[in-house]
Amino acid sequence: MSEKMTRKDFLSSLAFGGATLALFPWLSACSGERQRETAGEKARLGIIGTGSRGQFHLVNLLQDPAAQVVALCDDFPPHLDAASALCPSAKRYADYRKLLEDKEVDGVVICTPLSMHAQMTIDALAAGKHTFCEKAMAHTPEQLSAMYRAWKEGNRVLMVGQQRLYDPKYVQAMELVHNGAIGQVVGIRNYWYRNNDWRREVPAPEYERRINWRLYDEYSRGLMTELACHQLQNGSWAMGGVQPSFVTGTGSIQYWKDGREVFDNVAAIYQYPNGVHMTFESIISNKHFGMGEQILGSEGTIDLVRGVMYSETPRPRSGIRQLLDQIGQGILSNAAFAGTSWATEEASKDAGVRFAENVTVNDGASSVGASGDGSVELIHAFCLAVISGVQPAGIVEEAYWSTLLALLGDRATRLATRVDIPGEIVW
Amino acid sequence: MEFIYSTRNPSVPTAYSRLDAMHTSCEILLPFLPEDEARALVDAVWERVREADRRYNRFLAGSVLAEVNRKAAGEAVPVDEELFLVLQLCETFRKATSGYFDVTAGSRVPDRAVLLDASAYTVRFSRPGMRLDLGGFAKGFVLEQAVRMVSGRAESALLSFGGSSVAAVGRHPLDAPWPVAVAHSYYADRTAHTFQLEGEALSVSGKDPHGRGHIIDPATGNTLEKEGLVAVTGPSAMVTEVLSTALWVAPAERRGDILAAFDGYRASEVRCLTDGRALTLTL
Repeated sequence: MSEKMTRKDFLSSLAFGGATLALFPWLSACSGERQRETAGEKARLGIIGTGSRGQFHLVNLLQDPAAQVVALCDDFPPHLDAASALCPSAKRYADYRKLLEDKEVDGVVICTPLSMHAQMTIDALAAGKHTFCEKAMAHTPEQLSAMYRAWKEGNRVLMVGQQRLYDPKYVQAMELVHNGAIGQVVGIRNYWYRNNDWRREVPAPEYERRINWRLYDEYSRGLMTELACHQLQNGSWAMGGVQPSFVTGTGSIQYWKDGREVFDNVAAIYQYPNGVHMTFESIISNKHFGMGEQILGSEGTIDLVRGVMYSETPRPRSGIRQLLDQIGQGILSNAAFAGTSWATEEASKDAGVRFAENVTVNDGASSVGASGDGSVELIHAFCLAVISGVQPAGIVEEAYWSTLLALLGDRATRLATRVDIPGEIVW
Repeated sequence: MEFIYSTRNPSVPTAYSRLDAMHTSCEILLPFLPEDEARALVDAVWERVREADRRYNRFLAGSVLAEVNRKAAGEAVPVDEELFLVLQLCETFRKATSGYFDVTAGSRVPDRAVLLDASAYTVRFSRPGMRLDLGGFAKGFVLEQAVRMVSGRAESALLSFGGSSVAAVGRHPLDAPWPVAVAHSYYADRTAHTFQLEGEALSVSGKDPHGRGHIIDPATGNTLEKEGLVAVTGPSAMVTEVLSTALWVAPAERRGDILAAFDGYRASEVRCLTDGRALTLTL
């Protein structure tokens, strides 16, 4: 498929275009049209929860011309002080409900422990604030439904911190999948390995649960909500929005026996209606393989983390040899062999084809955020949505499903049993 | 070396041969010739390619080019007539492309020059640390020689040196131009752009997403990391080789002027997109 274009067309077409927006409708929040509509305006934002992730967003927002951080909120003074030092002009709150009463705040960014997401989001939407909530959306399926309902029945923007939604290499990878570049999707593999105790330093023992909330059931669902939640989106995207029928799995605390309540290793298998499986495995006492996400197809494999596609049948290295067969059959057909030259010593290896430029390979080691992972684009899209008041299409549904899959995967691993997954959003 | 003679289509008996040389795979397709003639012609062409590979491979300790690179910073090195001609051509092309084609690009030495003495047939480097890399140019130079060898004895042929340097002699045996396609980087069953070659050459330079970038920016001495392909067609395989390299290295605003200095050559930029499209921009 080839098109003759002018230079202007050529350059502009390299940005996300119509076909991409059809597959990933939430990207419209960053479209050129939306950028022009909102040019020169600023979203007045309050950040609720100013720990490491809150400060990560704060730093990005301070550099975003579409953002003005006007309020900060945390009930843990050291975190609030650290954020205030970054943004001294912002008002300080210890109670998020007071911040929600602030008329100068158009939107809020919620970066609190998972168990607080639902109530804070519901309260923020009810207060008329556009809301960005960190992932996962909720601590329980019931909370998840309540959040979805609050958004659906209201008229404010809701976005969730699933940064892969705005990571160009994931977008490009899914274009390849849906255009048939790897044939039929036959499997999805996700894994996330680290070798650390996942703990943060606490100033005094009474702060243990507050700081290390990820390790305790009452605040978190551990590896499934904190890590799997990101990677399980890959399945939804690769399968064209179809969700798995059920999940089974297991997990345990086998290495970090330090009083934590969440597993330090889990393995979950999701099965789709057509029989395809998606796996998620995480171990945090070995980091050799780091983070991996692969879409397996009948004709190729996409390594999402590295932005590389491998063919099951790499293109023949001998170029014009194919013409010999065509002439033998009396066929006049073009032979696709021209391109940059290649080295003979690579003959037996498929080096793969890189599909994204300037790929930042994230090893998954950071618990806060990594550069080039879509976080900056995501929070910028939220700013534009706050200014325009336009909800990016599909994004809440994406977050709903990734959270539900994580929560039901957590249930399956805890019970070591099969858990059915409803086929539709429940609210 | 591989040699196949196919008579599957009795009206178009065709010879195919492949030789791994010049850091890539060189291939030739020869329709219509009787097998013994085709084999003799292929042998002669491959002998020339092997000889050039020995001469212009800078990594081969005994090559004439390695000898020049080792000595020419300290003394004027006598060279044979062919190498002197090659260096003269390279210098001419360097000037004609405003320096964007430069066989000393990898030297990372400022204010460098290759000093040629036509009265003594010697070459000398103006600065220590310089080196010549004739890899790309030699492919085009030898391909053009191969085309001449074939043209005298066959009415139709297709030659490819690694897919980046292609030359067509005459027309396809089914009486049409030779259709030569640039493969789409992401979709095995698609092509990005098809060139129709009839008695002309095609050269493709750049960096595709396979990560095989190897062209050096003469201004910095560093490998250029930008992506995209530049394809040039025209009568001379040597000139298309030079132009595709220079046009890919040059910034967009300089390409028009460079191309305008070469009559009879057409250039385009090809870029493959993950959504399946391929964009071709005529330069």
